[in-house]
Amino acid sequence: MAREAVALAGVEWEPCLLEPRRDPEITRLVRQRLGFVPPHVHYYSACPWLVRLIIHFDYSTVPFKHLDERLVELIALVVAQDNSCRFCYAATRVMLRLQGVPDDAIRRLEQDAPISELPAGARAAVDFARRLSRASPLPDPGALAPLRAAGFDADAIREIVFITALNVASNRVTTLAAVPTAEIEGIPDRLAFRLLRPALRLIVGVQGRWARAKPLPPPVRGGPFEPLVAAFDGLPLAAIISQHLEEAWRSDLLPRRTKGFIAGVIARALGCEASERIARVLLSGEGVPEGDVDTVLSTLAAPCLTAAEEVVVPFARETVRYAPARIQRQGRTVRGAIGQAAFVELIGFAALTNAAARMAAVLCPR
Amino acid sequence: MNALAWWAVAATVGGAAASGAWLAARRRSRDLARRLAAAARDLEHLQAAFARFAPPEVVDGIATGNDGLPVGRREVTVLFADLMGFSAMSERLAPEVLVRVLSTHFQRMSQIVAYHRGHVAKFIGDGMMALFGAFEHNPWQGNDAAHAALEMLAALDEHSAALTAAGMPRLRMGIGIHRGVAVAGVVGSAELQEFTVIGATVNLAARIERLTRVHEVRALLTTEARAGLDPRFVLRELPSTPIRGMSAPVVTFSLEGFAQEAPPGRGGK
Repeated sequence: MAREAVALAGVEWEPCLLEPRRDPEITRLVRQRLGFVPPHVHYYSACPWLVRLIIHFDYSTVPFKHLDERLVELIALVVAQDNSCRFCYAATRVMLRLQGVPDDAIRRLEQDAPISELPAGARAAVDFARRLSRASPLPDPGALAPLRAAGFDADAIREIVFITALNVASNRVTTLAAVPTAEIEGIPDRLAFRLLRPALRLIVGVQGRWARAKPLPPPVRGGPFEPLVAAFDGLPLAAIISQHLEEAWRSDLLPRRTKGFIAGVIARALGCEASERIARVLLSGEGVPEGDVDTVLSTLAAPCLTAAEEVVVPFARETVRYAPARIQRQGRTVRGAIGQAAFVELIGFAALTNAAARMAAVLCPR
Repeated sequence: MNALAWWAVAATVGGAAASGAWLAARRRSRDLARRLAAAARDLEHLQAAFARFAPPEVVDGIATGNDGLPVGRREVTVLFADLMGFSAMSERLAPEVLVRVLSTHFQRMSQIVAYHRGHVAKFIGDGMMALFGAFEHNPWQGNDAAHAALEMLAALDEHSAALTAAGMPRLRMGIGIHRGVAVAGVVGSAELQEFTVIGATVNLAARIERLTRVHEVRALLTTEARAGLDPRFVLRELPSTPIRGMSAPVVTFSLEGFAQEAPPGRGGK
């Protein structure tokens, strides 16, 4: 293990919970959007909406207008470090190298020492990202004040919230599945990577500019997710958030009411009232009586739950704060109970709602 | 020519000395970087270890030298567990055996508490106080404490069986659980500080634990701790009992198990 990887090398990590499956259509879509197909995408091919979300984990496909790439990667690094996500952490280190950040600087970032040496703006953004990711306690809109004081305008702040939440989601997508890390952790030590780094850096830059030029569909109005989508009004990010939430909700690998319970439990675990309101609207739309919702959210158990939900509902709670190996072992039991396709959707939906609840906590009115 | 030779020698010696000094400085710099990295890692490990004893905001506050550590009221579930008859046992056993028995017991109990998202706030003689929901928002802290209590009792039985097989007396334990609002913060002197909770909630939990002897049960919950529990916990209501410091007699519930089977009427839609 390279000395740079020391910080997370000690994190216990289970063998992967998923079997990879190559789907030609998924492969084509990912290659079209990213220019290459990251190998871990094949673990999620049972759930097309999740693959489309994973494409956005590559920030070159996200239309940031106010944040520079280094700040975006810096936030990704600290959130991955905070969530002990070995996969995302290793991936972010590769991207920082490609952007020309010297190895010494990355090493010092990992050791947390230079946070105090960062410019005031970056320091405020990193501090905020850590607080939002940890959610202990869950920040409220008042947590945005230091960002304003550091000179970020309203749009830049919303982008910081979004990139933090996106990393909260990506960490969970890879950690809950225990995606193998050996390959990505070894990339920086490969001779080919070192020799080709300048060329790769150029390619990544060009790819980013191409991706940013793509127009996005207009934001979707209305629907249960409207309060959160509206918080990003005026930014292209609104359409991305709306698209993923709607697609995740419409997918039928897991019953909708099960996903409603997942959203409700995650909102309750975080203490996010705005998200719990959205979850209650979703469950009401599926015909779940309010009394049943109250019972499930209070006790994580109720006679109304199906056998699968009895397994899924307590697991949803675990996705909020976790130690990787422990949740991976719990996930293996859940996967055995509900099957791979449903488990992939469970991972994706839990990751997405963890992100959405954190965004709602700081951007949606109470 | 001689002068040139002297210049050449001087330049070579000077160059060698400069190179040597540069190499030494580089070695020192690398050594320093290595030591700094090791110190940073140690600090990180220390911070991670400390996170088991205080909430993240408190750990962060201490790590950054912040004197104004957060103090506030929060809803917690307090679990008191006390070994019964251990004082008598301590008079019969050799000190090293006694310490080994108690350490094994506390080690196992602490693991169970941590597994159920609680943390051991303190050991008090042969007893302990554990908190659930003190470090982070936890709406299901009652479930966690009740699951921990059942598992602690099962682990105690296992440990006790091993002790009796070795000719030692049987261990017995009483557990009291209460949920309520308490003041949480870092308390202590400049030399010794701890993160803990204080207030009536803590006192009542301690008294409920003592009530296990009166009712001759292993684990007791108050009405407040029972609220919001998973309905699969098996509880038995006990007669209300006067408790010192409480204006009215207190109703308690004996925690007797957890039914793994789904309750009747399951099915969803």
